Amino acid sequence: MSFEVRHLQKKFGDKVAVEDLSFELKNPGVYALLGTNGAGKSTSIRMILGILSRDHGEVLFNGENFDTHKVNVGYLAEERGLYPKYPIMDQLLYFASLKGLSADTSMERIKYWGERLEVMEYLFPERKKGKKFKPTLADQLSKGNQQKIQLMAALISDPEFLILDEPLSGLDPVNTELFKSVIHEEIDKNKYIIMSSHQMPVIEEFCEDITILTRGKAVVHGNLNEIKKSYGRVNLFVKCDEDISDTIKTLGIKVVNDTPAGIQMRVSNEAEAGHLLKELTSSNKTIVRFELREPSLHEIFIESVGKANDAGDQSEANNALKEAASE
Amino acid sequence: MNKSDFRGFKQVFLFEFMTGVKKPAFISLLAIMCAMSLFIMPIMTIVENIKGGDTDDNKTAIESVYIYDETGLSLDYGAFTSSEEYSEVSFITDNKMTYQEAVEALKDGSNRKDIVIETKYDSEDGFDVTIRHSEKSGIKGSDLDKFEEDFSEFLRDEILKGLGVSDENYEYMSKEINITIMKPSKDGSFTEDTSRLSISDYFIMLGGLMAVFMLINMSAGNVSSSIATEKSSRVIEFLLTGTRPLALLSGKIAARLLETLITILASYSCFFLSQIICLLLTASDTVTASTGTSDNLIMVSSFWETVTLSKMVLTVLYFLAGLVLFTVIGAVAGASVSKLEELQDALKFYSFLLIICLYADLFLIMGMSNSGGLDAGMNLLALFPLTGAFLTPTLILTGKISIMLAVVALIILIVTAAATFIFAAAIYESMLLYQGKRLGMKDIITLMKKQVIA
Repeated sequence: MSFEVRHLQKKFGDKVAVEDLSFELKNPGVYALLGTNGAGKSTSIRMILGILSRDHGEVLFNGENFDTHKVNVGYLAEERGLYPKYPIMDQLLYFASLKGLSADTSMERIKYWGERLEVMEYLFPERKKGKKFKPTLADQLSKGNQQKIQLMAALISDPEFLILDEPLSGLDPVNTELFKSVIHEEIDKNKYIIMSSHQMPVIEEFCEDITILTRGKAVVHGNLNEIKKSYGRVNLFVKCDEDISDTIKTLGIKVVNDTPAGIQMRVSNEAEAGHLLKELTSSNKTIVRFELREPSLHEIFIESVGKANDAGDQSEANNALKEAASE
Repeated sequence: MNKSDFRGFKQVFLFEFMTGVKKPAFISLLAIMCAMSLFIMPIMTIVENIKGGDTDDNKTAIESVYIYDETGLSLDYGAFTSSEEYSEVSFITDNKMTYQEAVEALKDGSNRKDIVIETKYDSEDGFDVTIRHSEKSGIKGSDLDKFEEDFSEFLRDEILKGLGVSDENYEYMSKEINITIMKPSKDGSFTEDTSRLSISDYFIMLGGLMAVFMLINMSAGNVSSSIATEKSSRVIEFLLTGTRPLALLSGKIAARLLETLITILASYSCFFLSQIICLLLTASDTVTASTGTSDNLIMVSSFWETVTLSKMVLTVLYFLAGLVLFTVIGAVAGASVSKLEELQDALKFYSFLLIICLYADLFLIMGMSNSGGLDAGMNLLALFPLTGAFLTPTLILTGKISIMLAVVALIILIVTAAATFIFAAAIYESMLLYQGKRLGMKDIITLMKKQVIA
């Protein structure tokens, strides 16, 4: 079983929305699509799902064309969508029927997920004696609860393939933990999951493989651990009781951030960090914390997107200059 | 367009139908249509019954009638008072009071249940009858209406008797006169001029036109707002993972068709029931049944007598095809917006088209009621799908167009509706995921060329 995206491309007029996107999920697990706003994540997801046409490329599941009508797919869209004036129960039953579920199975699943996501009171509101029963409409729910109903809609068919576009955005800490636990459950069920998020710690928590998109182009992609290793252990964090800025300056180490909690530095290699440690110990400085680590995903993201943007801007500027010169 | 494009049709149809029939707008319309169909005829019948029978023993409220006859005819009011209704009415012809005194007496209100009649004859204008009553008359309008009708009949009978017309000749002269206006057709033979409208046909066509317009407008409005809601709430993105755009569009249209059919069937059932109620009401009152009470019933009954099964089938098919045509146009308007608030603006063109077509039909009906010779215009509007959608169903029912022409009109409409559906489906697919400013026709065609949807 494998899921493969090959050379996906999409243009809107002259604007390239996605340029040659390829990745593969050889085994069940979570694949992350990262990028700034407008980088092409949602467009890629829509093309993968087949709701947006592709200019080029193919999406394969077990070697066959990926068809959402043949593969059981759950989708939590970035643009949360529910009919605002319709009862949520009717909507869930409708969404379940579109996935081919019988009414009985749908009801069973709705009850399960209703309890799991703590929305039973909205799905099955109390029937008051002598009063007309009023089902809960979508626009009567808070944003977080609407998101839970959306997650229910995505999971109701017990999909083998799940696409979660910004699943945790806008959730409070309690509901974030609830959503995380549900995602962990789905991972444990050996499901193929594609997740897009701006929250890097969340991606680091769930994903093994990532693609970072900027301006429709994949600037970083592969296994997260390997990507981190390729950057090396270059992030150094040091806290001493004494002022060590002179020592750092003498060694020519780049300071990224200097805060009361400590100094964050970028070393060129591990030996440079070792040299600093030696200097500090020989000068009898009281070292409270000395940590040499790989860059975080957040740092990789900022760096790769920043580089790509600079290159893009430079390329655009070069093109503009060429055009001006030719004129 | 293939079978897989309609995957999810059943689910969309069921959801749209179930949510549609629960909407207050649909429930209200159904209730209004049923109530009107059920109650109007019986109420009219009851009112007529009350008009004709609210006095004791069916007697008129008029007490005395002062006659001032200047026609020179010797009228025998005995024939008038021989009927039970006027048996207690005094016809005063002695002229003890002058005409002026009698009129003055009406003014002071002392004779609240009296009337004064002045009859004159002019060789050019004919008979002129003036009936006067007091300002705060105790005589009901219905009594006066009835008296006016009966007096006119009485006067004509007396004139004929005065001319020495025998009973046999009188009966012969009272027979109904049916006039058929014929005109030459292309093959040289004369055929009935159907482009003229009787007053009953006029009202039936006007009512039919308005009913069809209302149902089509409501159906198209529902579909466009449903599509706009799905786009503005972004639920469309989720739906498209389980179904196809064509299934969404056709499921919505089919649901609206069923809702409309239910409305029509329920209204017709109520109307049928109301006819039975009217029959019971009129049967219980033989006196009123013989008078004007059953006129409305007769008018409607005579209309249904001319309706054959083939006409009914053609009418229903034509109406449904027209509904599909306008609903598809409404769907495109709904898909061209990203926010529900923009829908009214997007429906401007649709509304303009609808009103132009309706006015063309209205002018034709008014023209047909005032003069004949509008065959060409009638046929043109009947055959043109956009105007025919409102007009042709009633033209078929009233027999104003031949079955052959109706079949041709139906074929043209079905072809147009199918072509519009295919064209609209392509546009609809292209616009579903579009979010941004409202699309104009030019933008829609550009998007369609790009085939945005997979």
